[in-house]
Order: sequence, then C-alpha cells, then structure tokens
Amino acid sequence: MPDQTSPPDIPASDSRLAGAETAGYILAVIVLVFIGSLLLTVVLNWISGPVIVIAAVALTTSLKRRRLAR
Amino acid sequence: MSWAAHELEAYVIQKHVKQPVSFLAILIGSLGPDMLTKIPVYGITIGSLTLKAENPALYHRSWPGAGPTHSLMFGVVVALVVLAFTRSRPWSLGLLLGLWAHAISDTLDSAGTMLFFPFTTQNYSLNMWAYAAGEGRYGDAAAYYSSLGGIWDLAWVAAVLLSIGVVSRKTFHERIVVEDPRPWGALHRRFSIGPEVLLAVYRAYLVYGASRIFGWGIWARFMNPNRGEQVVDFSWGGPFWVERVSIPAESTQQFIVSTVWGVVMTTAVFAIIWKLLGHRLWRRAAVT
Repeated sequence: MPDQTSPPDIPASDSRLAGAETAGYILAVIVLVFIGSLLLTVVLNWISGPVIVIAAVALTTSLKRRRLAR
Repeated sequence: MSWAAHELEAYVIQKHVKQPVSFLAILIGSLGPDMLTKIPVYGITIGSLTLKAENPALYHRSWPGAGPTHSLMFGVVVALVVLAFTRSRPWSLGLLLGLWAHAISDTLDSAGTMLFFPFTTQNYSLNMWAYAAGEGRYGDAAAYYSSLGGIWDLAWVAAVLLSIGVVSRKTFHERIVVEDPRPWGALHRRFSIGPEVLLAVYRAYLVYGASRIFGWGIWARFMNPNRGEQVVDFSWGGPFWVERVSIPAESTQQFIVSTVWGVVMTTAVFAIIWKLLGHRLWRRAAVT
C-alpha cells in the first residue's frame, strides 16, 4: 500500500510582508533584465539567475521584518 | 534549442497535471537534458584545456553524442530508475514529464531531436528557427532572439500568465508542498527558510526565465555589436543570416520507414516495460 508523507508545518506568510515581497520580485526583475543585458551569462545563468530572485526577496522581507521589530 | 521555454514549461505542466507530481522534479527534468550537455556545445576553456564539441549540433542532438538525452526513452529510463530507488511517484512522474517536454519542445528548431531513439536515430524537426549553437553562446542568442525562437519564449510567458494561479501562495502551500513535502520541509527546517523565501524559491525560475528573455532580447537587438547585419527575421526557419544546422533523413522513404519503426517499437517497448516492471514499481511507490 503506498504510503503518504505528511506535509511539513510551514507557517503562513506574514501579510505585513506582502509589499516587501513584491518589492523583492521587482528588484530581481530589474537586476536580471538590465544588469543581465550588460553582464549576460554572469547574471543570466541557471544558478545565479534564480539565486538573485531568492536573494532579492530574502533581502527585502528581512529589511521589512527588522523595521517591524523596532 | 529553446532558451527560456525550458524554465517556464515546468509551471505550465504543473498546472495541468491532475496526479500528485513534484514541481522540482518537473523543473529538473525540463532543464536536465541541457544541463548534462550544454557545456561542450558552446565550449569551455579551463587553463590550457578547451572542451568543445567538433560539431555542436551533432554532439547535442545526434548519435554518437548526447542526443539520446533528448529522447522519449531517456525520460522513461530516468523515471523508472528514480521510481525504483526513491519509491516516489511524484518524482518519477515529474522527471518523466519534464524530460519529455524538453525533448518535444526542442523539435521546433532546425536540428530537432531523436524522439524515438534507440529504435531510430532520425531527428524530428519543425524547422521553426535555426539551430545556431555552433555560433557560440552570443551568436546563438543573437540568432534566437532575432527569430521565431524569441516569439516561442514569449508564448511560454503568455502560457504561464494564463496559468498564473499555479504560482499563487495558496497553490504553493496546498499543492506544491503537499505533493512533494520532503524537499520543501527540509528547506524549511534545516535552513530555517521562512514562508516568503520558500515561495520565492518556487517562483525563482519563473521570474528568472521571463526576465532572461528580455535581458538577452535587449542585448541581441540593442547592444549586440553585430546587430546591423544580424537583423530581425521572423520567417519560418530564420534568421536568414545564420547557417541553419539541420540533421535530415537521407530520403523521404527512409524518413517514413524510420518513423513507423520508431513509433511501433517505442510504443511496444514502453508497454512491455510497464507490464514487466513499471506497474509493480508504481504500485509499491508512495503517493507523495
């Protein structure tokens, strides 16, 4: 009988960070499109491209979280 | 070859598959055939050592060479091996779909793919744009984003936008994580990654894939030093200014015979593999 792994307990996103998340994606698109068109494969490759997206969202949400904590 | 399409097709497949499936597996399957083969296609130099295929198109899409990675059988073999070792249906199915999507979508360029390898080494191509990897990465980018290749990438952006719910927060938590809990759970627990960044990990190849089209497009059309000669050509099989590589059949008769043999044998062998091995592995495997 096939078993089933229970889903991990990942908490829901904090709605106060929604704006910061959007800013992160916009930042990533700007970096990828404009810096990418200058530096090409340095930025636009399978590793650094997605990492830039993740890093941009991590940066903006973390800055917003710090501001909320003050 | 398709440039951004392989990053974007994973999201569209995820949207339309009703079975539990691993998004990460679809993505790895979609990127896999080129991840395994692209370096010698464009060439790489490390110190005094240069690794570059003598004929990039034949190496990448034909046999002898890495062409079998772009075949239907390759997807089945990888899916079976993964099913046997991981006992995970979502990973096996995801890899199969991703690898098949890659092999099929690459039939649009002039080199095409050996879909029915190993029963025939015939390449299948719709000749929509010129395969230009032999021109190097920049020459290939200039040709691709000056031809119907660029339109093909934009069509995938449109397809993802039509399936935009697949990248919603709700879909991520209720489907993506639930259908493939181990890697997402590990990312969350071991690396203490919060929900916003986990969602960004899921969306990363969409944002990267869509942005890449515009990044390379801007370079090809506005910054490329050869853009004066390398003009836009949306004709079928274009652009006209690059040597179009194709791997055609020797004759129409040979094409028909190879195709019939390939379809019949591929179907028969898939049925036998499923009967003897596949369905047993599938039955004992986990749903997630």
